[in-house]
Amino acid sequence: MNTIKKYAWPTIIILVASLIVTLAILPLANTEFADGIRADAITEGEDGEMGGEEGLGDMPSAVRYVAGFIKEFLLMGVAGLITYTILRIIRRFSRKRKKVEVAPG
Amino acid sequence: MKTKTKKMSSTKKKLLVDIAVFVVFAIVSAPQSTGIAVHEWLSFIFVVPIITHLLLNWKWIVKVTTRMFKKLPGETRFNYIWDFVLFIMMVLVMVSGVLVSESALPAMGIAFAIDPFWVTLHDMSANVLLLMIGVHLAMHWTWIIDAFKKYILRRTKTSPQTAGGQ
Repeated sequence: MNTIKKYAWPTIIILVASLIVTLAILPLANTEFADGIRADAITEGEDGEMGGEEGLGDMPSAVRYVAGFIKEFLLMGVAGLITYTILRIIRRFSRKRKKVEVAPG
Repeated sequence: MKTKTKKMSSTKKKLLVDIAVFVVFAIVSAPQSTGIAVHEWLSFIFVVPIITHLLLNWKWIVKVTTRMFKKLPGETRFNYIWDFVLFIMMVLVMVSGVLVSESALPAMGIAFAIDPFWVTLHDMSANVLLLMIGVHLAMHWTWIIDAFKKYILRRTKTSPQTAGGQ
């Protein structure tokens, strides 16, 4: 009972926040940007640029199965690696700066 | 007669929920591999671990929100803003996903014409979300590794901070 009480308000806040974001997103469908994307999609469809689901239509099923996870691994991995490297440089730099500030004289 | 129950540490709880979030997210994010039906139904289930993840870190969210315009470490401020944008992006992916549903909603008797705009937006935002999750993981990498070593590999040399990796 206590757990429900403890998490009831946060859950309501999260759901209300999601609803607000949803209501802000929906009108995007009526913008010029949306019309542009629709026009592009129609042109691409006529030109036959897309090879099935995300362009993977002709791939063998095993490759197709692995491709989804590879794409995921690459996108998350590259972004994560770059961030981690930058973070380490910043942390090292700020530690050095603190040492200089603390050093006597 | 009272039975003594051993309480699980909050760090362990967070780690287990985070592992569940990651595993479900990894499966959900590969519709080419799993097929559209699994992708859509699992996306509905994904709401539960993601809300649990937010609830377990609720104290941190409230604490940083109240101190947002006061003195805060740069990393904490970055994490807060990043996580806020991540939440918006997650909702965008989910809402656009519901609007382009080909399997789950029709199975429930709800069907509407699929707009290419939402299809494009769903694909684009899902890719951006993957990049953002990569950054999110990197920002908490030290906590993840320390907690994993302590609770999964049972090595107790290092102790992870209890602030939920935030």
